[in-house]
Amino acid sequence: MAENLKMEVKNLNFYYAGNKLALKNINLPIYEKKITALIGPSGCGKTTLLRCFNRMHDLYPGNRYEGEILLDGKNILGKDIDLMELRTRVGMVFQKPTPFPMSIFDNIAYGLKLLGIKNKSELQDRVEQALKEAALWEEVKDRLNVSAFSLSGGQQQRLCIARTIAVRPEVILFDEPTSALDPISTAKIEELIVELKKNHTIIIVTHNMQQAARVSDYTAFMYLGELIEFDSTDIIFTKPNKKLTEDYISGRFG
Amino acid sequence: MLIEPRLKEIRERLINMAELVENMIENSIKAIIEHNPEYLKYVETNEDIVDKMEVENESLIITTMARYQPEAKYLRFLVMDLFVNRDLERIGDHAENIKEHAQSILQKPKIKEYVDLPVMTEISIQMLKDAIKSFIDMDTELAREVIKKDDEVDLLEEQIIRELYTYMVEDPTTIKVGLRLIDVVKNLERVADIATNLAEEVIYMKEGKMLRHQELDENGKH
Repeated sequence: MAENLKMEVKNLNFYYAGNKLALKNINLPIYEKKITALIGPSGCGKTTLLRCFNRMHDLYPGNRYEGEILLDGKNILGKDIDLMELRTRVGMVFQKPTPFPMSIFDNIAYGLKLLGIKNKSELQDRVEQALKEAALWEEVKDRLNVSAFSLSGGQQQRLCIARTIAVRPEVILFDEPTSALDPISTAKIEELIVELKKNHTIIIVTHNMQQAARVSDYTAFMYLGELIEFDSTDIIFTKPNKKLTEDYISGRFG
Repeated sequence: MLIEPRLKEIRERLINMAELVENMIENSIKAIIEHNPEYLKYVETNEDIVDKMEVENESLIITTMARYQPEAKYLRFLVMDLFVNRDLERIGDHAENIKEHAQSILQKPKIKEYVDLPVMTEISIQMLKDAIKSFIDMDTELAREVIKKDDEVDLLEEQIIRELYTYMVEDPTTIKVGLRLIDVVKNLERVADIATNLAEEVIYMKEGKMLRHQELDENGKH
């Protein structure tokens, strides 16, 4: 199966402020329009790695990267990178829904306005399209002007996904997107994530192994800051190559 | 549910495989009845394909179990799919056995016109088709029809073998072909048995009744 590389992590080391080494020599391909799951026990570095893909670590001083992460062949860890542009191309959805304290409509229009879209009808079209893609339109189309906080947790998370996809990112990072949600909302978000890969490359961190198994095409298993094994999800969950992966998948630790 | 497209894919693969093995059985017997080796080519072309399908389907079913952790009806369906996959492969093996006997049988002239063999073939293939249909539609009535027909096949098997014995006793030059034909009939009977097992599994899946190793009453009920 020939896959196109969208991103590629090459010899990446990451140090938190104080020179604490959190990621050790990570090498990982990210294939275009596929879902890659990062799994591993708490503290293994999966969220740290996810936050490298759009340089979220730069928000805190003292953090340091070594190595390269390529996006369409260009190193995003370079000094000349426009972080605003990078984060538009590589969007992120967080663990807990984080709607802005404004209306449903404005939550989504916010990012679009930052991109310079001022035309009202274009804004309306883009908001509607994003809500439809996030499978939320039918539930909110009659109350776009009410506060986003009036939505349920699952709806808020879909709103955050709509907000992320409204600016048409090429890659979407999901940081445990369902850990704060009930099983039904979780199932909806999982179906949505699978739907989104038609147009986006997706990287998802989850501590829920079954979620990784259900939604992803590729799985990377991490342990103590190292990438232990990367393969198709079918292989990782049926016959992984490394004993450590097998032990984790079968619940012996973690 | 994310598992559903996978289940659909597995079912579609099993339906394709079922059609293939049905045609293999049909062609292998037709070669004997019409005394024409051309029909055996179909079996030869497809025997490796069926083996490959079995391995691929099994891997897909196991991967689906590992990835989606099915419960309740989804688990029962997938377990059933595993049985059906293996049964279909075995039917493919029987077609292959019949083909090998046919190759030898066709070296010699016909010892008789076949009367009961076409009937037995028709019933066995129909049982197989109905068993697969009952599995796809979860139709227990149809499954019970299949189980009832198994006795007809058993009777035909006995009758054909008895008749072959008389030919062999009367004319020892027919023994070689006669023994081969007995093996053909036994293979065909096994196909009908597998169809019956499948039908029993369908009833188990739908009604939770374990029919294996039991007898149906005269109305076809347990």
